[in-house]
Amino acid sequence: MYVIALLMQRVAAYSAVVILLSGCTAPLTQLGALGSMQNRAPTTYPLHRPLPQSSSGQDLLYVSGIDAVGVYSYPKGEIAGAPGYV
Amino acid sequence: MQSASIATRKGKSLGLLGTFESPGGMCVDRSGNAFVPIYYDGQVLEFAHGDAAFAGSTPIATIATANFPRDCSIDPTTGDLAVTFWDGVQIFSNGSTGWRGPQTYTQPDGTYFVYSCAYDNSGNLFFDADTQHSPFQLTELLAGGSGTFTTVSLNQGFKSPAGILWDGTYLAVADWRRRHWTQVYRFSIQGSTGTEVGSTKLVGGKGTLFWIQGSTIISPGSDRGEYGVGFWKYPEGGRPKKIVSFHDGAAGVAVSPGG
Repeated sequence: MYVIALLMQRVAAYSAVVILLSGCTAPLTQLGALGSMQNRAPTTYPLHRPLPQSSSGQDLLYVSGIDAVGVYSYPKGEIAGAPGYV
Repeated sequence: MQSASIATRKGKSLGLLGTFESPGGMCVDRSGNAFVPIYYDGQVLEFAHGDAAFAGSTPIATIATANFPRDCSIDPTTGDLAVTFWDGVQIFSNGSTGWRGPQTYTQPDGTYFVYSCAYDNSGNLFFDADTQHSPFQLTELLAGGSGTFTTVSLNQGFKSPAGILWDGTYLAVADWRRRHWTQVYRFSIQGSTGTEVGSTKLVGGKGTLFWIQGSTIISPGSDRGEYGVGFWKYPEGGRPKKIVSFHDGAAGVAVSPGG
């Protein structure tokens, strides 16, 4: 009887931990989604920052998404895997 | 050992080139100009590499295409522009006064849709398609403008078109058959036969319109909850060298080398 009671106590304790962890996970997930929304493309953009003057000598990475194209600049040769890239 | 680090990003985000109605697979010409197919607008926009174009994000050319352009490729021998659309390919000539054409080639054999395209070094054009006969069909349009389609048989099965690209020596064909990675197969093309010579596993790769730049393959992907564009060693593959975040997920990538 004592063993059963002890087991039930353990189960209850583990359940409490699981519930606590679940409670922690939910807001973390939501925070991730919120962060994603901040980066999400709105219908209009305050965009078109001019490229730096040196950009003509840089590699540009174009990325298309659902409704937008983003641009990233890299020092020339880095994308191709030059030493020190990663 | 593969590095799995995320985003010690040396690249700098310059912002958005613009908002579009479903931009597709992009391509780049010898001058570094970038071409962006706009799926729902039926056009391809050409942007110059460098300051002037990005400062206003004003395309230097707007090229009207057939409905639903999806991907493009530049012929390295002529500078011509190939664009896939719903059931075929259009080729625009690079004339001294601008883009001419197009020459339209429709796939006569029950094509459901044509997906991506890629020129090889000799100006032969390949494109992958879903047809009523096969969920994946690779077709070659020979250089020279004969308009002759050749179906290329591969010694590897594919469940659907998922992006192709010429890596300089071989035709790279993506297969996004698993949830957590993309496999990119390399084929040696001889006549109407493609023989696999190797493959690259992109862990976290999300298909499909990938890009190969030297020893790096770039593709939509994710790693440890980070979504965007992944960089992998090519042809080694494995886990991504890094992931660059992109707002609601990437669909296609292209690299315009600096002059």
